[in-house]
Amino acid sequence: MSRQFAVFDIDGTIVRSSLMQLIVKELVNRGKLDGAAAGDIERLIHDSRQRIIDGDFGAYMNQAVTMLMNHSGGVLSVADYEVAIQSVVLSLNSTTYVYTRQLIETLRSSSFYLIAISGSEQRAVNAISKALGFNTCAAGVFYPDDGTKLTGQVQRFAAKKDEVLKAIVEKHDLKIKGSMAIGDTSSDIDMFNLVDQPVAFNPNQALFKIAREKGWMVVLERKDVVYGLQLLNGEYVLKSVNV
Amino acid sequence: MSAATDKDKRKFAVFDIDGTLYRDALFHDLVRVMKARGLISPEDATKTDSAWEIYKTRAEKDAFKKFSDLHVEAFTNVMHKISRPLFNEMVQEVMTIKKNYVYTYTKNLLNSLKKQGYILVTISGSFQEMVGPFATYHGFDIAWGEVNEWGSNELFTGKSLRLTYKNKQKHLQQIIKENNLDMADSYGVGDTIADTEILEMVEHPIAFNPSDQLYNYAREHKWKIVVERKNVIYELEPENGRFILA
Repeated sequence: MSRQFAVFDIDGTIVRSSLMQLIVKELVNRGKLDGAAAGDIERLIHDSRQRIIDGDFGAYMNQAVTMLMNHSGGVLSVADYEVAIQSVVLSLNSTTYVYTRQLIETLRSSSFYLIAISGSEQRAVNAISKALGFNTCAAGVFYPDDGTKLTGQVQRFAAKKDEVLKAIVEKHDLKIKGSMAIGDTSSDIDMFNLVDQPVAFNPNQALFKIAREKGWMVVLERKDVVYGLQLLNGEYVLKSVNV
Repeated sequence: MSAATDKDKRKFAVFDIDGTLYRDALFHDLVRVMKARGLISPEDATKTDSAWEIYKTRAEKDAFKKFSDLHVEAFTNVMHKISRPLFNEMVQEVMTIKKNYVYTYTKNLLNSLKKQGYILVTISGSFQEMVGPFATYHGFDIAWGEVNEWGSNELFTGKSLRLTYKNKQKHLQQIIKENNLDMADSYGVGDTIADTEILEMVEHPIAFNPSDQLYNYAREHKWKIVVERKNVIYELEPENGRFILA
């Protein structure tokens, strides 16, 4: 009997900011990057926001690795990078949204097949997904190394989120009925179109517009309150969210 | 001329600042600047950092209040050492960087009400030295913040002349009386349970990005709820026992 599945975006959906920001913070704390790195990554994310909205996550990830190279004097060891990732894993409780964290737990206990699809870097995506109990995951880029340190290059994975999802669903014979997708930006829209129950979580403007048009559920988490907005007879009604 | 009539009364709107108009908390910003300048004890600095981590996990109720209270403690422990010129310099630092760091919904509402001739009032728990300039910059007519006495030696005497983090209802009543303000068609906007007492006084209360306690209170009392997230504004209006997205 085929299994139900749920697919999650990571940055802004599971983690409150982005994996790259969290990793940079760890590297700065350990003295592997100079202090200016944190400010730079924040500016990069801010400036890239429009491009991210337009789906060009790749360009942002290219600039991110260049920035890592610049602030580490060109010598960022794979070991240091991976240690930073592990620190991020250990502090996930304070960097993740309550709604998504609880939803992952609930779906896991209901035997949902859990998939994480992210535009972020492979090592980070693998580690976070494993820690949260995902069955499988897919990243957007990989930072090659020469055995010891990152080379500063970026390997982009060409497939889009919906293509990746389709392949996983086919490979594992997963059931579309009852399937869920949770994401926060317009780059998740193609993925949403493939599932039974999409959830736009803290959506950006572009995603909210489409979600509203299509009548998708919207969930917001702000301060310590979770808001569920569900379409009912043509209107969005506030509902309690049970996870 | 006869005594002031209802016709002379002026419409008003009262706003909280921290978390309602301003995206952060003015007082917390001041303590952050003090931390950066090494003015806060390492012990107090660690306490506030830990409290922030706990708040981020959302594992404890009142975690934000504890975080906020620790800032007050951290400041109080060193306030006798802060000279007035230094204080003003640090206030200026916060203002310069952050004065435009405001929520779109609240800022737009402020502007709209001002155009309609509303008197804009703010009562904030942060210091008058910060609240005053911030409020003036954003078009407020009346701004009440916390007032602490400065001595002739340009240091705090330790005496509070006005506390505004509590008794907001009493303060607002005084402001209404002194300025002949009209309760009819009045607006109030706040984000925490501390704002409940003034929100109860006005005709159009709005819970903006409410904390859990205010959210529950607003739902019970059928107050409008507005959430601003990633620059999307969600206006939830009470209708027939439910809340509908406008």
